[in-house]
Amino acid sequence: MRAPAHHAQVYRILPLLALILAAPAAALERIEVQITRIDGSGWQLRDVRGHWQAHGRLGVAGRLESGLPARSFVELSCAKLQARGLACDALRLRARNPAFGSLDARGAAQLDASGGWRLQLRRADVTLQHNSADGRLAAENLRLGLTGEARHDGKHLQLWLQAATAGGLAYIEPYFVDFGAQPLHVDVELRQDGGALRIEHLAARQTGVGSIAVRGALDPAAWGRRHELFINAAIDDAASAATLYAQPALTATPLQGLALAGALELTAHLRNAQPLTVEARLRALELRIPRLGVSLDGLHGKLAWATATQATSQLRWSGGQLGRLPLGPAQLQWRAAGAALALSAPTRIPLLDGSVDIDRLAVSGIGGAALKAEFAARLQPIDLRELCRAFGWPAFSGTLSGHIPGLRLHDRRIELDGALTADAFGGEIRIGALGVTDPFGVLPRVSADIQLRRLDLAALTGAFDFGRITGRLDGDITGLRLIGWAPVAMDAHLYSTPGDRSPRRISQRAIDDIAAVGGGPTGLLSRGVMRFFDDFAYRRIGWRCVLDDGICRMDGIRPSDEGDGYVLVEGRGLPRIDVVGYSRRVSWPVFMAQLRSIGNAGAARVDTP
Amino acid sequence: MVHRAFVAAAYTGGVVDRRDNAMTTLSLMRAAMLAATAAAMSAACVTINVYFPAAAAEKAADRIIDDVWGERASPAPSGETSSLRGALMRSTVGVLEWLVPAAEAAEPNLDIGSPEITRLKTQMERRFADLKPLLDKGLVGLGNDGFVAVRDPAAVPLAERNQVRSIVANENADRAALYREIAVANGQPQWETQIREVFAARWIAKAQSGWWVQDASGAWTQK
Repeated sequence: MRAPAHHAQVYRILPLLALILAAPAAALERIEVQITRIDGSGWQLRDVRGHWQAHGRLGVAGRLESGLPARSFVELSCAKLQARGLACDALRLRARNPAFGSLDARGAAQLDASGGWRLQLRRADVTLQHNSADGRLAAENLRLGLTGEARHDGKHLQLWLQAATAGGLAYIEPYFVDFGAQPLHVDVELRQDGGALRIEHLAARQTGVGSIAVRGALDPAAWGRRHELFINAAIDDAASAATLYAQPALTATPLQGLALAGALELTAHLRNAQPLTVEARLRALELRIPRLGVSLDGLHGKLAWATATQATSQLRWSGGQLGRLPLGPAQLQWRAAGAALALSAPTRIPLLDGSVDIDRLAVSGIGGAALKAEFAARLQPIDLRELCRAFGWPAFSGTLSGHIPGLRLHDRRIELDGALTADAFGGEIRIGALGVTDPFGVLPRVSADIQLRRLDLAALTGAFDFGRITGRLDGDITGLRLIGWAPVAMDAHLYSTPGDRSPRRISQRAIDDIAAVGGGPTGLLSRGVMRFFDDFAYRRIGWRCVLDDGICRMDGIRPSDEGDGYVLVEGRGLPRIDVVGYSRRVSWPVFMAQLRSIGNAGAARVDTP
Repeated sequence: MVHRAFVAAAYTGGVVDRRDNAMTTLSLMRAAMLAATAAAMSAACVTINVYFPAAAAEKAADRIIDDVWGERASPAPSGETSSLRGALMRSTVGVLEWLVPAAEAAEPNLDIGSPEITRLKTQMERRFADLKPLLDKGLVGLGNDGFVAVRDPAAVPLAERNQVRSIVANENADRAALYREIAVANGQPQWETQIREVFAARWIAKAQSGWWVQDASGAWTQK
């Protein structure tokens, strides 16, 4: 009940006004009044000096003390005060507060006998200079020019206001705007009927960004909670809009650093701080989300969302990038309602020379902790050579195809239903128990179990600048954990496919290379009688690595006959070649470096019977 | 008993400083281990209480801080008192090792070598190039809660406020993850708070002079 108290104060001043107005009748030339103090609820006016002259010139000046951190100096003057009703044609209000800035306004005021009034603002220059103690709100030499009018006919209040910035900086956490570079112009028309304040028209335009139009109604006593607004924004330059308004709001989220280019249009219907419908129309938009490694070009379409009804969205793009994988043009259509969305029809997204065919994609609980996603897709054959080139890996030959039966996202963790299977190197790769923890957080982690079955070693070794091995390979990699795509823990076991009857041969160079990777001597086989053999038959191959804490504990098929080595390649027939490893604890980074540049010295031995 | 007497000696001989709590905990821990060993000899049922290894945590924190801030940034306070205490602790460990080798093997040594920790450390180390100028200028300070904070938000130039806010938010996200990961890596997720507290003290202790740090009451002081 603050307003009545204010009124009480105004009424206390009224006798003074009456005295001034009545003064001409008494043929006075000049009146001067000094009031030490006027108290209001929450404010105090001190050292008030008022003066009136016979020609209608009136002036009041004082020091206002209120909740503000510094004193305000207020000066109100009227060059021509007329007693018809109560009118002033040349009203001037000047105020300044060291902690907030200054105001200089010129206009006119008129008070009708019927109780209506009119206030005309011909020109106001406002300079804002403020820095709140918590640093969340600041203005640095922010200059505004205002014109407007307020009218009250006894029942309704109508207000027109135009404001334009003329330079300066503003910070409203988390947004920072340099109005010198991107000036803002606002045009508003308001009307108050009874309790509600109607926004007849509000248009704001920021140069180099875009414009926004709002209409609707709100409750002035609780405008943040009780309102109904229709918003229409045309963003001409999405790049600067993203820099100014999207990036600051997305700090320390997965979308951090979001960049846009192009244009878009947004419409929204809000009621009581709840969006009812939101629609975005994209025109040749480019999108980049660095943290997720996503970029899409030539985005066109309509994204629609509604709380109550199903809204259909379409989106197409001309190309893009997912991590290091180039994406081809694709078109998506989905339906959204409330916190859920689902793909309307299967979609094909070209990926290299193949594609990802999405059969099912449904997301629910968007925006909440219970975010859930379901995803099923098929991978149409992708040339491995292209895939490897994209990742900067050695160019394996073969194709990759597979099936993703279902992928679920919940509790900041992505989990795969069943297994991801891929056909590659003439065999099968099966990725089970795949989980990604905290995929969009500070520390994304991947865990998986991988099974390799009947991989063609000729195709596998052909990809490397490595000797040639024929035969088939199985593998079990359990407890694989990746951080930043680098393995940090696993129990890997690779071995010749049991029961496989295909020819098993290993070239002289492959033996050399295995020895080199193990840090052993090379070139032993190119000496003596061995140099007449290009390759050798083998019975089986086996390698085991238990990786933990940067150390790979290595093992082979079985312990070596002599010493405490382990057999990596067990030869067959004559001449029989066994490759024996001796290093049991190998630094993983060193091992990887040796794989990359085959050829070094160390402990490995080639036994010849 | 010989070992109990020794623990008491370590106690009275211990230098009273702000790390006395850690010392007490350690001594208690050793006593507990001795008791456990003794109990194991006499009874089949043994209860082993795992205490938070405050001293080990301090050492671990110092190593991480050195890595993140680079060695130049850490003029670690080393005085005669601490070396004396160090010698005392070493001999304590030596005697205990001889007395109860099995228990000594269980001496908690904080593991900070997990890949998660290494990764977070690298991220923070990279960010330090951006964070250091803010610490040097006093815009950002080291909080008493193990995180960094904008000391005087209003002092940051308007155009830089978002950048500062973003650096601080990302650094704190990494720090929170670091404390959690250390606890998890040592199989004691419930230690997270204590690890954060140890770090809070060590970040401040190792801060460069001129940086602003927060005391226990939350007030900022310049080192």
